[in-house]
Amino acid sequence: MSSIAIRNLTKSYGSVQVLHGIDLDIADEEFVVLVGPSGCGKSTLLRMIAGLEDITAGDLHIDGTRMNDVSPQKRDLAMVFQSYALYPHMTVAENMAFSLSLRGKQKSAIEREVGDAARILHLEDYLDRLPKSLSGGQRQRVAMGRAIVRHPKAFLFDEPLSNLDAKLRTHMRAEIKQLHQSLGATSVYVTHDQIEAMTLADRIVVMNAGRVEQVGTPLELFDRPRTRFVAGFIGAPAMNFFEGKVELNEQGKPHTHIGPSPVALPEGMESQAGAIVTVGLRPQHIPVSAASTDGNARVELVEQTGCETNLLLKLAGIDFTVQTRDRLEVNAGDAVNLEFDSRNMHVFDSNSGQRLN
Amino acid sequence: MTRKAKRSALCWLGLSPLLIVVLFPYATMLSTALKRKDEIFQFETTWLPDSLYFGNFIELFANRGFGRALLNSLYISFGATLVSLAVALPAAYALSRLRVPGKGTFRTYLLVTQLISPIVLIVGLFRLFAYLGMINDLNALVFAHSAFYMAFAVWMLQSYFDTIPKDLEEAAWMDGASRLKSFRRVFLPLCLPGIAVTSLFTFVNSWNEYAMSLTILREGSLQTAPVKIAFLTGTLYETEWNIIMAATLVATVPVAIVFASIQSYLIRGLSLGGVK
Repeated sequence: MSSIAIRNLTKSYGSVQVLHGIDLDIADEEFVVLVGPSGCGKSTLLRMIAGLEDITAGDLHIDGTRMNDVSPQKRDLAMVFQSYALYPHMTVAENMAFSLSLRGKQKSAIEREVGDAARILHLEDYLDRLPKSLSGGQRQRVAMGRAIVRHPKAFLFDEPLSNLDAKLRTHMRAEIKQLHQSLGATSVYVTHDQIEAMTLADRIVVMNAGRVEQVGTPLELFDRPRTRFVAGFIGAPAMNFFEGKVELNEQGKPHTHIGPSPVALPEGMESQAGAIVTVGLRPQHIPVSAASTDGNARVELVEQTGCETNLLLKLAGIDFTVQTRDRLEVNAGDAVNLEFDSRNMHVFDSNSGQRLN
Repeated sequence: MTRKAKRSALCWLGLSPLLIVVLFPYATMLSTALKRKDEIFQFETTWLPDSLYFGNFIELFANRGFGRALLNSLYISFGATLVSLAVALPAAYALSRLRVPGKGTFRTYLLVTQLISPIVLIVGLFRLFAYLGMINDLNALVFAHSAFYMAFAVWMLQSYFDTIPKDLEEAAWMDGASRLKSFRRVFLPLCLPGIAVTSLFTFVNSWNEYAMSLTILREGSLQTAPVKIAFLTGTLYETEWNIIMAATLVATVPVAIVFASIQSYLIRGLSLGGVK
């Protein structure tokens, strides 16, 4: 297994630049997830690591060796495609053995490797089948098997679970995680699903419009998003945002207003007095209680998920989503009370989107 | 009768006039080829011959040199199919997969070449092959036919190649296969249905081609089957329908064999299940 170092990597198609100077270090045995909205360049970055896309400028090192001009055949990386890309005319066993036979391995060694991979992935009973007779989950496993038989330097995953239904996706997610724990393979995983990113990653790279917004562990990203984009992207339901002007009260404490009501801001915001800021609050961090008639917010929609209840509310014309584990007896149109705790607030510059607190 | 069976019966009913159009010439060929000469011109004609008479075929092969004509045709058609595929396969692959400058213009150019009837080029072609010393050379026809049907083959193969997901080749590259190896071991097997259809079209076109063969192959022993058949009609004092029909029947056999041998590829959807 190996480390991957990316230095100031850019990618242009003609005059259109899609990646703007990416810097990233992926340590040996690390599981790194590239996440971002469609078109942010995450798949392009992965394909550049794989060698399937040319590098316009910058450097790519694998295990300390510059790989910019090395063909995908010689990079010794394995890739799991979104479409699985199984060879339709080969059986499961032949699909998995293909890379080994290309390397001129002996038949007995190939059989052993394929057998081992099949055992790990519970594919022993399907080795003689063609891909077309397999279910989506089984095809997914074959694609993984094809990658693991090779013991490559690193695994690259390009949205491998996006073709599966929700239940199977959760199951396969756990299998990938377990596989990574047992193989300890350096992995780069692309997804647009932030839940996948949070659950799988040692570190997450959040990308937006061809740039890296933030790199960090899942909890770092959740607890201290560096930009408004990351704050809005990570976490479900998405973070609530409202804009306000920073004012100081008589004691010199910073606050802003939601409608007529003052809301205290975190300490340290005094320096921003007079500035327009965007305040973010996670739906889980807004305590809600049923109110008689004088509540400050009105319920628009109630979503029961069983364990949690999501309330879509309106407060002074602003939409809020609140998640609670309390079994509140509220319906659409009811009034509720929301509390805002400045310790849970994420404050961003309204112009640059950068974190201020 | 179920609804599906009803619909199927209706379709057959609608198609049956076409079936007559297709089968009638075969019935005529078979019926006439198996009759004696004097039986054909009887006042009351019947579909079934009095007795099965194979003398026409024997005459055809023994005295009229039709076997030679068939061999010439087979040589030219197989040759033209192979040469045209040998060029069209890489060309279509490049058009489908590589970044080739002027790709669109080239495709249009290929299409435009199909608008020109070969007849108008025949004088020029004759002069070209005369200059190359290839008049009365079967290979001249191999090259001429392959050149004429190549554009179509490129066009058709490219359309088929475009349907093969690029992921499959990329997966092969990641597995360590060179471009050539991934072409041979992954791409080519998946393209067999497309290649089969293209070969079939090229083969049939070449097999049926008349004007060029007539012009370039001047010697009787080099004539192709269609030219030979045309010459059979032009005997001095009579038209020997029994011989002509026997010849036309025999001439359809190779095409039927080629069709039958590759038809399994035509209906096999190989790429199914490889990618979701």
